[in-house]
Amino acid sequence: MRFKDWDNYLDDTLKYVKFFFDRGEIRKELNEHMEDMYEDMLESGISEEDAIRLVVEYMGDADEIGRALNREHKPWIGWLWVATRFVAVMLFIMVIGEAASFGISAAGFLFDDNEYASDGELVYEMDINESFRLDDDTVTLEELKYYDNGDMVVKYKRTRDFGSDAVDWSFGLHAASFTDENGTQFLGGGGYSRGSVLGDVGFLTINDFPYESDMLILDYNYNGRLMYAEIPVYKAKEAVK
Amino acid sequence: MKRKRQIIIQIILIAIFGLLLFDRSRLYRTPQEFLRANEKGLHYGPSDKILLEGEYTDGYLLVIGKIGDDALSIGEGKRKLLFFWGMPGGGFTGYRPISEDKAVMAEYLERFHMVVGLTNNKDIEEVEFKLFVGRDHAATERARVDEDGFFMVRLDDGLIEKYKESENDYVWFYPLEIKGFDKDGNLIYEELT
Repeated sequence: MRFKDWDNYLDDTLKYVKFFFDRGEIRKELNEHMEDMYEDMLESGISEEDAIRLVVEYMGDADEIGRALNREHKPWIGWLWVATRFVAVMLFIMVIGEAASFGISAAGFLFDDNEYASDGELVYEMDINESFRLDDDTVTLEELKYYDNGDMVVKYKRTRDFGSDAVDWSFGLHAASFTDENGTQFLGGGGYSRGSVLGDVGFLTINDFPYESDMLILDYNYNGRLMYAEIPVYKAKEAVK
Repeated sequence: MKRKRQIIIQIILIAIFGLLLFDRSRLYRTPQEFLRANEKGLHYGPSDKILLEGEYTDGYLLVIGKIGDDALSIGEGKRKLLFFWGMPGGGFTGYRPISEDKAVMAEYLERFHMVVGLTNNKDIEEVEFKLFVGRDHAATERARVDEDGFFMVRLDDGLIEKYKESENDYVWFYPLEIKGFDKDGNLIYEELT
C-alpha cells in the first residue's frame, strides 16, 4: 500500500540513515507499521483521506525519527557487516573450489587403474606390500610384474601424512639400487609417477632382470633415508608353475 | 543485536575458511619454515644451522642452511600475501653436497646473481674460482670463507649484462677451477678442469 504523503514522509525520515543498504528494509518495516495503523483507523470509522493524514501525524517528527534510526543503524556496523559477509562468501566459494579440486585429484589416486605395462608378455606377478617411512611420507611397494623381455615393473605409492607442511615434491624410486641374490646390479630404467593431493603412484622398470634370479633386492639410501627390501620373486615363479 | 551476531558468525566463518585455505596454500610464516618444508618434501636435511637469510629484489627470498660439514640446503622462495613465503616458480636449488672427492663446492644462483659455496677443509680461509659462460672464461672471483666454511660472492651486474643477448635472456655461470688458500695466503687446495 503506497500513498504519496507516506512516501514523502518516509523519504524525509530515511535521508538521515547514512548506511543506505538498510534503507530498503527500514522503509518496508515503517510502511508495514503505517499500514497497520491505517487499517485500525479505517475499522474505527475514520475516512481514508483522514486516515492517510493521521498516520503520518501519529508516526512522529520525521527528522527526530530519522536521527534515531541512524543512531540505531550505525554505519560502521553496517559496513562491517557488508565487508565480513563479502569476505565470508568469497572464501566459501574458494573453499568449495578447493574441495572439488581435492576430490577430483583424490579420486584419481584412489580409483584409477593406474596401470603401466611393458612391451613383453607377462610371466609372473606378485604383491609386495612393504611400507617405509621417509620424513612425512609413507612409501609402499605394492606389486611387481615380470615380463618375458626381462623387464621387471615395480608399482609403488607415496602418501603424505595428513596435516604435513612439507612441500609436495614428487617422489621416485630411481635413487634406489636393485640387485639380485648374486649381487648383480640392475638399472632402474623407464617409468613414471602420477601425482595427486593424496600422493604419487609410480612405476619403475628394471631392465634385463634374469628369469633365473630368485630375489629382487631394493636398497635405497638417500641422505639418511633408508628403504631396504628383499623380495622373493621365486614364490611368484612357483605359483605360476 | 541480530546484525552484531551475524558479524560475529561471519568473522568465525572467515577464520575457519581462511585456515582451511591457508593450510592448502603451502605458505610459510618464516624463511626457516619454508626451507624445512622443502627439505622434508625432497627428503634431505634438516639443516643444522641457517647461514644466510635475506629478501632480495622483486620479493625473492634466499635462505641457505648447512647440513653437517658437507652440504648446503639452498632455498629460493617468494613473498606471498605480504607476510608469508611460498614457492617462487621456476625451480628450486635444494640439496648441494660437496662431492666425495673434493673439499669445496660452489653453486651459481641465477635469480640472485651470486655464487655461494661451502668447504669442509677448515684450513681454507679464502677461495678463488673462475666463472665460465660456456667455454668463455668470464671472470675470476675471490671470497673469504667464514667459520662455517661458507662463502658467497655477488656478481657485478655489468658482467651479467655483458653476456645477456636480450632483456629476458638467462646467463648461467659455472664456477670452476676452484682454489683454496690458508690464512697466510698459501695455496692448499686446487681443482683442475
